[in-house]
Amino acid sequence: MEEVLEQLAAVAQSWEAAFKGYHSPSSCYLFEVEPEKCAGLLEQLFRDKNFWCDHLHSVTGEHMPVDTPMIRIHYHLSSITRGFSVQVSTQKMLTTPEEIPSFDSVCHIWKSANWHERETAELLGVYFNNHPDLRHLLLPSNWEGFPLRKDYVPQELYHGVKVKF
Amino acid sequence: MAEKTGEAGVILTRVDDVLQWANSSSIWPLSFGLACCAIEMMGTYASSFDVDRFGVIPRASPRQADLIIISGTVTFKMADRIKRLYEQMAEPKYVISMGSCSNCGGPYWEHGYHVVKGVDRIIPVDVYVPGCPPRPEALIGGILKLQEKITGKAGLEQSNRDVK
Repeated sequence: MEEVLEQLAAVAQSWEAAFKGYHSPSSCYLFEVEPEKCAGLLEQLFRDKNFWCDHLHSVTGEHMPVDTPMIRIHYHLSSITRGFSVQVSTQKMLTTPEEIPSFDSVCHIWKSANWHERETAELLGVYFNNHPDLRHLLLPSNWEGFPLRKDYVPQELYHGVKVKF
Repeated sequence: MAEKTGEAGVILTRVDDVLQWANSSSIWPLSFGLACCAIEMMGTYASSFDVDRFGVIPRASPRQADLIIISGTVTFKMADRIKRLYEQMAEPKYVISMGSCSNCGGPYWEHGYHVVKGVDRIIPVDVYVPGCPPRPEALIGGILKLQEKITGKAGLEQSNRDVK
């Protein structure tokens, strides 16, 4: 484990990512990286034979509206061959509450990212550059608003049916 | 009657009564389930509860079905499909709303932006079965109530089926 940590720290440094510690309940190394360098770091974690992070558990995110409003995106990876997990987080500030920040897609690295990114995009109101097919996944295609934003207000009617109780 | 009297007899009745009797004794529901209520519904169809004894046999096409059991959470995405299935059914057609979700939104009534707060906002409902999910006995109770309604014993008029 020590060895992996050192190698991870070296890679993180080369992508200007900050090591945020080790989360023991999930046995997961936490990294924070700039959004522009996120896809590059993830690709190296996938391709580098020291890590071989071949399993992408999830792409998820959160909306933080207080103080500095921002959208954070988290990637959870595991290396099945090397036996460790990594969480890579990245964030973008929102200048206006309606802004839709864009992040780079990792679909070309892990095919499984496709649906995760579609879900994150429709629920949080983010855009993934170079995503092959960024339609809605769970919501109806003409749904208004982004339900996981903290300032989300559901629409009054959907196809003529009242949404509220 | 032949056994009772020893000769062939005649039963006098109204055409309406015969049709209602036939109708209520062969309620064919659509094979259609939505959520956890559908698991209870499947249990109701299966041998332990055996709704076949009431003439309830699930059919795989809305064109052969008399009844649609809305068994579970109706999301807005599903609502359009449910409406279309209901419209494809031939008259006379009936609707049982099974469980809290399809009755009124259930646990999603406040924060479930995606849930229709009661399937009666989309299609007219004949019988509401409460429960979360209802036991098979409760669903059978709902089917019996629907039989009463069809035969006119429940004292309910067809006309009070309205979309709210």
